[in-house]
Amino acid sequence: MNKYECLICGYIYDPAAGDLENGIAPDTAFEDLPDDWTCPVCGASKDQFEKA
Amino acid sequence: MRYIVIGAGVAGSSACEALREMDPEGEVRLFTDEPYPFYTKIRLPELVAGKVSPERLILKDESWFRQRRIRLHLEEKVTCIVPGPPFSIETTRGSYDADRLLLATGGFSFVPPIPGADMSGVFTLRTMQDALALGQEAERAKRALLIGGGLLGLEAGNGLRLRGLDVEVVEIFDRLLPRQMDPAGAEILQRIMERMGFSFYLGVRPKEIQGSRGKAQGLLLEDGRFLEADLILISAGVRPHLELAEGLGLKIQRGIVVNDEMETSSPGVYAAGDAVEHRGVYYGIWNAAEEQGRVAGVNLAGGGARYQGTLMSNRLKVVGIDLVSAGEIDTEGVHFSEVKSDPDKGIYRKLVYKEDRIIGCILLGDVRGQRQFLQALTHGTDVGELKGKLLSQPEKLGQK
Repeated sequence: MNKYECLICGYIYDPAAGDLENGIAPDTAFEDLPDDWTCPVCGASKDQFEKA
Repeated sequence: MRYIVIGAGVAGSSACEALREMDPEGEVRLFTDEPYPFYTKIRLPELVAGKVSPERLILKDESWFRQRRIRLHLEEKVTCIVPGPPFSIETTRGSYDADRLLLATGGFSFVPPIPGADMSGVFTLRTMQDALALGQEAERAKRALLIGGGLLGLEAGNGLRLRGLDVEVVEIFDRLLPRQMDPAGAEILQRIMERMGFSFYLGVRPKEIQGSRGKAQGLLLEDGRFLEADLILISAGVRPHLELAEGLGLKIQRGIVVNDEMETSSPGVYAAGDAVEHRGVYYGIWNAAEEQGRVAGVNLAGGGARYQGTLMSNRLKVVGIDLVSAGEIDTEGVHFSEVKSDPDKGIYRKLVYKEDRIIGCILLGDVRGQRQFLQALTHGTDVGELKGKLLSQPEKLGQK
């Protein structure tokens, strides 16, 4: 599974870690994140991410 | 120690977080004249589009500040600061004392001196309240006119378009995104956006916003044309809030001048974010404000953090389309360039060369190779016989 980087703030989504604060379990692929998931640091939407 | 932070955006909030980690005991107060704690400005166009609620844009809510014993003063504008230390702060609700001070006052939307710009129905977009007011007006409106065809303007315009409005864009420059695009690339972007429903008036000058009974009804151009509109959005760039800094007599150029410690010309007064200028650079971008805020927070508490500057990102999204723009994009066409253009697919790729090196690139709609191109550009890699043949085979650069 690929890591994805936020173009706005540089946050890296690591599928191995997920995003626990926002209810995303570890081992969730970026593609499987809900459409309304946003960057936990700056709030950017999913389409502002790019493969790291 | 008593600390006061003015401004609850990304710089002020990240400063409070760092400050509290450094000094668990001190008194920390955070002031904002807005009714919302730290929220994301990046998604304001979505709020305009009516796709999200204001609550969804809040990144750190009141309980986050409470847990860190940061006293959050919402809707309380700081009106005056008596120099110190100790500093004495006057607000719309009271007065407070502080030993150290952080100005994270951010920026505001610049409104050019167009007659009629003060009428109702004329908007800017910078804050949550701006977005809510604009969204509310958009509910009744059919035609929106946008003054300014830069990145922020186009994104805001897209929010209005998604709400179902016809959006016309007026730009003084003869092309869209003049800083990021050359004429051919800008034309392709324009065609994509026209297919989405935007209309453009490029290379024209606004003369006067006209209306009746104080309500705007359209824009008169200098060439005599009148563009009717139910609402007008001005998007002409951001300027730093400097009133408090001026009152303190701080050194100011484009923004409040700070050193690597984020300290201003006045000891004990720090500044960070969209109000500052560091080593001659005014950033106005998210990650710079966050890093500056963190450094300022550490140093407010007596730490020794240093800010070294932030690399400006070359990667953008404009109305959902990928765009990489970096270096010398050669808008005049004086250098040797390799160009691949597919207007129907909305793709424009250009590498600009000088001798055997890449000195600039534009990648619109298809950003493959961006990593290799940007690396070669940054390092001044000699591409030798690959010159002019790289767009289709960026991987060859990896072997250089």
